[in-house]
Amino acid sequence: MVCFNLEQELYTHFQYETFRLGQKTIIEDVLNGEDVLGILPTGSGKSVCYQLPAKLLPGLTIVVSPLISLMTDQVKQLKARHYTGVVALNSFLSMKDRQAVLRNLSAYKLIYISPELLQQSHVLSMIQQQTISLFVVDEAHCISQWGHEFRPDYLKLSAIIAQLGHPPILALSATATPRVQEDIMAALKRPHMMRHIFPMDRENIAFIVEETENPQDKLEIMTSLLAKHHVPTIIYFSSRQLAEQLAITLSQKLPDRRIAYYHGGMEQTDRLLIQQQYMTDQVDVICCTSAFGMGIDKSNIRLVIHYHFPTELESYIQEVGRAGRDGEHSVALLLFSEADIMISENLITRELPDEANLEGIFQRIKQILQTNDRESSDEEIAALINLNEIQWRYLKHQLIKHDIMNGKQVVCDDMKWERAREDIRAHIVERMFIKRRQLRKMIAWIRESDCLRRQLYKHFQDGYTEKHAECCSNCGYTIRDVQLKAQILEQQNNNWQDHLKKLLLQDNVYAKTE
Amino acid sequence: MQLEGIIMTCSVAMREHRSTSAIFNIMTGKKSIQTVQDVHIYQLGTFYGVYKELQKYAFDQTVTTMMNNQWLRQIDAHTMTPTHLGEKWLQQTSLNLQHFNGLAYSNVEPVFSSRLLLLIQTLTNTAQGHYSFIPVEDDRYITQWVKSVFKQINKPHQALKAIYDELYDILNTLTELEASLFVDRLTGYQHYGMSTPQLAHKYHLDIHTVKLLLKKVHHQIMRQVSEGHHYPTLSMIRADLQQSNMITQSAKQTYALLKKQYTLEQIALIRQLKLNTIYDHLVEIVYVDANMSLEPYVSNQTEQEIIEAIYETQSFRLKEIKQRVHSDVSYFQIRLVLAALQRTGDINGVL
Ligand SMILES: [Zn+2]
Repeated sequence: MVCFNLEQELYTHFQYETFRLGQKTIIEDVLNGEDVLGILPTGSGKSVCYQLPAKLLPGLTIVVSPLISLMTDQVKQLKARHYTGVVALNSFLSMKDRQAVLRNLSAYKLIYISPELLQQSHVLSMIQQQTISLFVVDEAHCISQWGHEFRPDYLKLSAIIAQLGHPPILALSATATPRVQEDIMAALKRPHMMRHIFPMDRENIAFIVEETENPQDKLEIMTSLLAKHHVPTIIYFSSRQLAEQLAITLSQKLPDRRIAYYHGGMEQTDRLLIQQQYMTDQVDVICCTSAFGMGIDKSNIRLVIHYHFPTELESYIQEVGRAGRDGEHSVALLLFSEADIMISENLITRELPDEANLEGIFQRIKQILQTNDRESSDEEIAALINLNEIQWRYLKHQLIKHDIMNGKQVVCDDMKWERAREDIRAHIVERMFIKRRQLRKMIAWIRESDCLRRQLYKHFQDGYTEKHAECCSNCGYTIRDVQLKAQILEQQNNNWQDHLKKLLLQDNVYAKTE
Repeated sequence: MQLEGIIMTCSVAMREHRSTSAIFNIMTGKKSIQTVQDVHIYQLGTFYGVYKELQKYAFDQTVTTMMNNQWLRQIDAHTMTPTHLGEKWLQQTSLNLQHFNGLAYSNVEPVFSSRLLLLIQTLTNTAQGHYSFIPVEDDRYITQWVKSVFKQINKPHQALKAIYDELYDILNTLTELEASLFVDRLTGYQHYGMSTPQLAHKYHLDIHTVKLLLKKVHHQIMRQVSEGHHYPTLSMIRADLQQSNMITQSAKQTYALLKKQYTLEQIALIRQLKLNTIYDHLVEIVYVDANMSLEPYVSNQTEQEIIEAIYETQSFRLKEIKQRVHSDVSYFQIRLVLAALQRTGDINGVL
């Protein structure tokens, strides 16, 4: 039984007074050694569900997380709170740093690790020497082939868990349909997990779908809405280039708004600066791709605009879920035009190799891999085969799975290649079928005439919050009705002398007169 | 226009004698005999390694634009020569390229500027009683250094005043644009600095110019600090940083013998020098040569032990480190590991 005063521990380690919905019950079960499956909406403080137990349990807590950026963000945030004994192990760390951490494992309470690294035998054997109190699978929906973010490496977790002596498991996700939940438990070989599922439906977010004719329409709607409402805003785009372009166009149209862009192609430091500027309200509007938002915990985002819609409902739910985490009224606006459907279809076809060209692709791969003796990066190989990196990584995983590739070794047996190719072809066809179906669901939702909120959440939860005045554009709420709580501008500095003085805290008078 | 200016200056110096990629190698600080020779023969040390992160395609793009502007004329597939128009442009534009000093500072610049940025963020936050913030630098060696320095600072307010006075003094000698870029980049208490694209947008510059101007500012700060003016706080930031492509003549001779597989004792005999001097050379070489293995002098296990001691003490002081390792570990071994660590410290931005 648990004998901690959990509220007090929460305050000690996180300086929070109370638990958020779902956290406490999950933590209690975890501390009691149960296997737990927790489905909590984004922004509900999922990570506290293991970060607190990690401090209270006697041994080591291991967190498997799919995204390196997410891991490092979390570790940074924890360190900012003076949470000690935490580290992120991933391929970004140099060999030397990794060794230093691995040799000193007993100094840590909480280790974030990428699934790839966990598969390396020397890493695993170092971890095996520790007592593992809890094994956490973050973003657990990645384990399901039906999920929208399937990570092949996650399928190997159950074998790893067995090698670690079957520690208790905590699987967490924000978006897992009942079917995906079953998949998670099956893949982890723990059919009797305690399930804690909390609704993701947030009644303070109003949904508006707005039909537009062309990009010009979209720009006008955004410009007038942003001009009227000076609030923290995210605008999602499907391309990096458009995010950059529109950030510049909007800045020209709205010179008093601080607008920045953010995408995965930017330098690490610049990404961090923009993200933190947004957190500290130095930037009002972020034009970004889906790369923005993971690991962001900003409570006062009022407006989430989709310039392009994502390719599945799960992503959409995750992205709009970043609005209004403080409970204040917020708006999710989706700008739709018929032409966007083509864009989305192109996006999903770029995620998998073209099935119709598979023979040609295989010939090139065979040629390149069998003759290549260089230390080629995935990026280089992808370019040589004329695929994008996502497509090559998918194929590489499939080739390993079919015993065609093993490290740098490639088999020569033509029969084997042929069999693998046909298997992979079938798999691609199936995956494409699923992706297209998900896209159709997304589009169907956009064209829905019933309450958008009910239709959005019905796949993911049983009930939904009752209709209220500011529900959705199908329940009579329109852009003209939008009323959002504004915020204050930060003073901008003009010359470097004043700015330097203020920044280095040499001018108290300045601060007082502001 | 800084990038174009540097390319143009190099072209004017080298004419059609060297290929355009020689310019790229100089700017990215390639450690090859050919590049080092180019730098010396054509006296282009100012630009050596000033733009390490420059991508080849971006360089080629700029060269193409310069050709389209008829500033450069193609001689053959790999070689360009400056045109009249190009030379005139270079003369008429005041780019102040002479303020770069790549040979002296390019390797230490990233470490110096990262330390300075993080130290300012740390001091301004703690001075406001704010002890938790997301650091703008997460390179381990940089954060360790700032932590160790921070521990020695009793009064953050005083340290800030000192940094302010020293920076103000130096920035005053720079152009308005340079000083503004530098200050806008700084992160303080609940205020994060501007990203490169933001700076480019604000001052109507291209990205290369922003990056190069910032580096130039850092070079100028370091130069003024080392010229013996009175900047104690800023010189503390760079005190232990050695420009690693500087290697003494004597060390070079030792290096040559080392490559012939002589032992250290044999080298001391051949050169008629004390073994300790040879040790000094070796440390110097480790600073420079990324391929130099420590294996023959420090076992893997000892190296780990020393690294752990460095993390424990959070300092680079030999005595403190020595006290935490086995007594049979020598000062020489500790210095080698420290040098290797500081060398990797110039790979900025690695997590
Ligand atoms: Zn509704």
